[in-house]
Amino acid sequence: MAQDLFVPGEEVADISDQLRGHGITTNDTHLVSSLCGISSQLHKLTFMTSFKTWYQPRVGDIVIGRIVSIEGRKWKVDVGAPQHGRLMISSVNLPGGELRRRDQTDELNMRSFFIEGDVLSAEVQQTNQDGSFTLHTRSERYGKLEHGYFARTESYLVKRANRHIHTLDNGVGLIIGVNGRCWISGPRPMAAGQGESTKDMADAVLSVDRLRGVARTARAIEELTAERKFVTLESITARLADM
Amino acid sequence: MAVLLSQGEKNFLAQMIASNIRIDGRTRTDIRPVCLEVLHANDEAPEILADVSCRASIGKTRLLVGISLAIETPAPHAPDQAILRISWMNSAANEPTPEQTETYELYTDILHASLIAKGGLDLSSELLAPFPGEKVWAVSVDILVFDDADGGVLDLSSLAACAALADLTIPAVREKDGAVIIDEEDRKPLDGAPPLVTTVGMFQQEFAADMTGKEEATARTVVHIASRGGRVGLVRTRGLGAILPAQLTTAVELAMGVEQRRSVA
Repeated sequence: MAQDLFVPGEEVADISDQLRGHGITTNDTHLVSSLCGISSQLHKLTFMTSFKTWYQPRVGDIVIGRIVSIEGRKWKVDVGAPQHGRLMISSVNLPGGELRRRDQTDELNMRSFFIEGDVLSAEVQQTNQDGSFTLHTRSERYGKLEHGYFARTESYLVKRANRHIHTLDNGVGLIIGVNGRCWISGPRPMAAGQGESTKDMADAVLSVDRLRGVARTARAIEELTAERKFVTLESITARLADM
Repeated sequence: MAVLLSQGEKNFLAQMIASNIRIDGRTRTDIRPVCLEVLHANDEAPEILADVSCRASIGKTRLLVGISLAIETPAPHAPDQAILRISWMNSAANEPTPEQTETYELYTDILHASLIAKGGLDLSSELLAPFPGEKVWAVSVDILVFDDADGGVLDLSSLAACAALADLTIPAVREKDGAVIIDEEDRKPLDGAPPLVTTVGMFQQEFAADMTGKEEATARTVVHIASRGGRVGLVRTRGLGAILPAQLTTAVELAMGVEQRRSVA
């Protein structure tokens, strides 16, 4: 497939016997790009792939989001997608790991779990045709994130990987959400049998060196984002070594 | 845009401030570089509608201050004074919330008071009020906020407004046959330099200057101080925390140090 960079209004290809795909319009003689991105051609189909897009949720993605509203039996979570994600009350763990049906008391006590503004890590449970999606935190690895810094990068700079929860060499805990949100905090505790947890050490008082490590990690992510480079554990570690 | 933070994030930021480390690597008293660009309406730039405008940025916060002049009838409660108006506008991508609208009203009061404080604009001067009781100059300060992501909106607005006023010249006004004639060729600069507004935030027991948006949302109390050349013109506090006199003195000293550094630069 041929790949070239185009801006809106730029002629992409000759109009003759070409099919126009996403992001392509036409003038009298040529196919014209309607967005910034890379042109791709598949047989006779020409389409554009833009750089900067909303995060598109996929089942299994680890995301970091912020609670924006509490509604009947669910929370709405902003993860940077076109729609807010839904976190159902049945998709969160009850305190003490109870296994039972959620009743009206639980619904009235939703604020004891999450309130507006809380940051949490979750996994995409289900996506629908209309773009809506649901999240869940039914694992020790997910839940409220309380003692750290919420950093942002772009979702297209984050590659899907086997692991998104890391502890850096400087002792800083890092979660790289597939949606381009990152959480930087103290060292991550271990969840029973499930590797590193996303939960913070509650009320941890970090040393000055650790705090400095958090600031440097946030700065590394900011620089990689500004340079349009992929934000991965390796790239962040390399950037920290250069600082 | 409104900054929504969880209590855990606020506690973390407060812990960083207490350790004299900020997320961008600064200490509590370090300030960020400010970029100011003053532009005049002239034949080479007819698209600039204001008499003087100043584009300012600090971090990711960007705004534009335009100053326009018009001859108007003075206000009934101050017939011998010129009129100073301050208005705020946000870009379409940065619509303010109701809480932010209240904050902008407070900013308007502070900016207005600082611009006419001692050493600043003399609204009763002959230059600004050429015909007291009949016709005076109306100075409109229009502030367009493109992005307030990195905080410091009030400080930056004050810097930009003072920079624009320093370059503003007022045309001479004469009366002829009952009509007011403006002589664009005969222009004079304004006297004095208004105090600069500096915002200082109080966290637990520490103070930090030049706060980002997240730090402003975390601060227990925010103190706005207008000062110039070692003299304080205005002090206004905002927030839920109480502030002791000794703490207020510390905040004022910190703000005056920041103002001196910004004035020299």
